[in-house]
Amino acid sequence: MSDSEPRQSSSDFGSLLADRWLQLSPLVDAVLDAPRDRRSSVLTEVSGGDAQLRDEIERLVDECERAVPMLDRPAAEGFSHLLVADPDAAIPEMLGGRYRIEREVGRGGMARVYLARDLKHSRSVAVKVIRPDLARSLGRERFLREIEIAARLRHPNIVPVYDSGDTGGALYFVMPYEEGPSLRERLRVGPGMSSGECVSVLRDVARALAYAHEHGVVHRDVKPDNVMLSSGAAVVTDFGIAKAIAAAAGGDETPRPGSDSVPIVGTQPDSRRAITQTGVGIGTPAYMAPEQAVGDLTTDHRADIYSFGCLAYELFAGHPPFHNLPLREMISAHVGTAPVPLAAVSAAVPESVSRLVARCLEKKPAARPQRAQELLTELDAAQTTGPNAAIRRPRPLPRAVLVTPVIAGFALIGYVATRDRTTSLAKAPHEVTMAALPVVSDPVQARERPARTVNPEAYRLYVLGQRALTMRQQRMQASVERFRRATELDTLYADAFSGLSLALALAPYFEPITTRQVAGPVRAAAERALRLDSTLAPPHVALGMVHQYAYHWDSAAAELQTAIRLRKPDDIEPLVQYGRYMLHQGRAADALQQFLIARRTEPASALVSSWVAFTYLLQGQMDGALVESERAFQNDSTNYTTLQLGATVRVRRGDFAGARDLVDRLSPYDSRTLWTLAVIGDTATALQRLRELERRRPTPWLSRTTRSFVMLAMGDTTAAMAALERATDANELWPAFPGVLDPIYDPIRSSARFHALLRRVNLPLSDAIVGPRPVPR
Amino acid sequence: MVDLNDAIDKLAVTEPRLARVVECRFFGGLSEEETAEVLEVTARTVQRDWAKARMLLRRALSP
Repeated sequence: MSDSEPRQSSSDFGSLLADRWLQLSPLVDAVLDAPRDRRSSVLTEVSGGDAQLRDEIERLVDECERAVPMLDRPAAEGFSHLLVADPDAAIPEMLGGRYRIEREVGRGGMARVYLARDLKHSRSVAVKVIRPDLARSLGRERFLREIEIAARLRHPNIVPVYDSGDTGGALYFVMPYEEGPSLRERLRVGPGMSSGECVSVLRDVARALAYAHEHGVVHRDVKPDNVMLSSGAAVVTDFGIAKAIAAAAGGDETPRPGSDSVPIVGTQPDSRRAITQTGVGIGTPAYMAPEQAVGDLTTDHRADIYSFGCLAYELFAGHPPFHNLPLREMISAHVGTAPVPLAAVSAAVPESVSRLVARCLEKKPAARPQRAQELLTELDAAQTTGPNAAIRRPRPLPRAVLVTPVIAGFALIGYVATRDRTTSLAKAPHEVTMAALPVVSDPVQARERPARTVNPEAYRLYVLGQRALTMRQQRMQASVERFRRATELDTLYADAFSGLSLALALAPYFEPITTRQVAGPVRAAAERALRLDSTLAPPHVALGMVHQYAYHWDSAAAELQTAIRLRKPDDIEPLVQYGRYMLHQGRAADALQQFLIARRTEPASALVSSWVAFTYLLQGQMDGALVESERAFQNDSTNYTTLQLGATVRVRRGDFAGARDLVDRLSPYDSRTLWTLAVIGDTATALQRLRELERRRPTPWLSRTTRSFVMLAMGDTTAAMAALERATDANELWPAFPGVLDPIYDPIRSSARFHALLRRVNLPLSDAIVGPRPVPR
Repeated sequence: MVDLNDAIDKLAVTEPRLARVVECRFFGGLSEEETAEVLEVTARTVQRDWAKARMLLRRALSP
């Protein structure tokens, strides 16, 4: 990654620099490991008489043993995401003597949403309870007063606020229970919307804004998540809530918007400081007006007009004007970068709409349409004249900005920031405008983690699935089952879908299931995972593997490269699979490079060491192969791939007894088991098992490859070729495991019939693949 | 105040294993023993890693 330099500094721990920590860590370990009465002497010992160093270590050790209340209960029991969260503030069963809480239906940045029964009116309602830690910092009366104002709104395009209250420590408001879908969900999963539908939605939103603004209420968080689609109309929800929270947090003494507008020129340092102190900036970065982004207190209803512009932009372009950027840079772009004109990114947009959106997105509020009514007038004109072709939208959206809310429709206000695991840390603050960034260190800032779950059982299953995946011990079925159950428990659990896609993709190596059978399910799981979190790497690995199964090597390479770009620092799977891809292509040196990066990442991985060893073997480096194979066994002597590849290394070394010992721990019918038995001279057992395998009906998956391997080991190349051709007909895995460089194929490597087969599976007839083998050293 | 998730991400850059311990223990609600099993290390290692992770996170989170 190009920006590894700044990442270094942003990975520091407060004043403790990351590099320094890595130096001190072993010393801290030594002290932590010492019995208490020996600590003092161990401290002296490890600090080598350096008093300053001794103090530093002692302080760290002390801190290690101090409790961190936030972490001392599992996330699922408390508020998982915020330091200031108070896990003790439970939600009562009844609120205001009137609302019986039935279940939690969603969780957003600032509130939890419950489905409740309104006992007074015998109806279902949504009760949104402000996060207790946030509620504590709010002026409650001010909040309720603001909500009160919003509650007066009565308009067909506005979801009304029925009630609000402050009882039992909970600050809440009550709305009709809308099942949605939200516009966000519609954008994410539905078919493309026609230009006419888009304009129709925009008109509804504009109507809502016009009405609310006339009544002195601004929204401050206009975005697709807050637009619900119900029976043909768009209704805007959470009107005035963001404003109420901002106001109640103090500092917001803005003249009631709509009454008249305060001209804004530039930003005002004092206002910024006020915002910083109160720590409240409200909005969602992708849709936030520049003045809102810098925390300008004079922000008024024209910020809604800007957000409306972003929303309109997204409807036609498939993404808001600035996207695919880390939080700071996105905010910076709102403040200082002109958006790419809508007409340039979407052909279907009516020209009048494109012009209108450009005006809404003006940086200076005074340059935007000044009244929402004006939007309506323009849109009315567009609807009668515009083209009506369906809008083709790019998919998947490149980064998490657009896949933020776990609970679309109920995702409340607050910064729902990009969760960009690998890159956002690396970004340096963005000059100039960044001085005005109170929002970044904002306690109200909430981050959704679509990849994670708040369901402990789903997480447990995920972890178990992941473990089975890593171990590769013919446990892919277990892995698949666990991931599957995790996705059933939490249908928005991106990581579980991601794991599922990978486990399914690996299954044909380990289970009696064919590559053709898994292809569809892999794609479904991978695409689902990417829709939930487009930053995940494993689904790309899974898709890459499916391409390999169809012998589409170029597409496979593209997916695997994407996976490598997206991978989390400790995720070795993309490297392993890309390395294996290189082996299929006959590029052992390139493969080795990937495997070695993986080994550096995860030095204790048996899987990685096995591939390193095997690659050394292919390069003729027998000593390296042996050393590395030993290492693999030390890491995990039960890993299936380690046993398979280890057996081949031993065969090449002439250690037949050792090879036999290993394959005895594999499945008795594994193709490598039977090849090994045959090649070390136990052809009777190999043939016997081969016959047993082939007697089964339907013809077992990989049995053709197995026959071919046994025939190759016995020197019957004609029979071997015939079997290999049948294996190809059945899309068996022979070109993919462990790849055509495998010494197994040496007896047929130069045969024209084998070359024809290579062409069939789209592999290059390179020297590396069809030429002479490297001489073992 | 910085988001805990950011802090964990930081941790993952420098100390991936500690971050995994946090994921298992904090997000997963696993016990020390269960975490040890998942990560294939000893319970003692988990205990030590957990202590260190808390210290580093606290430091990363303090202003």
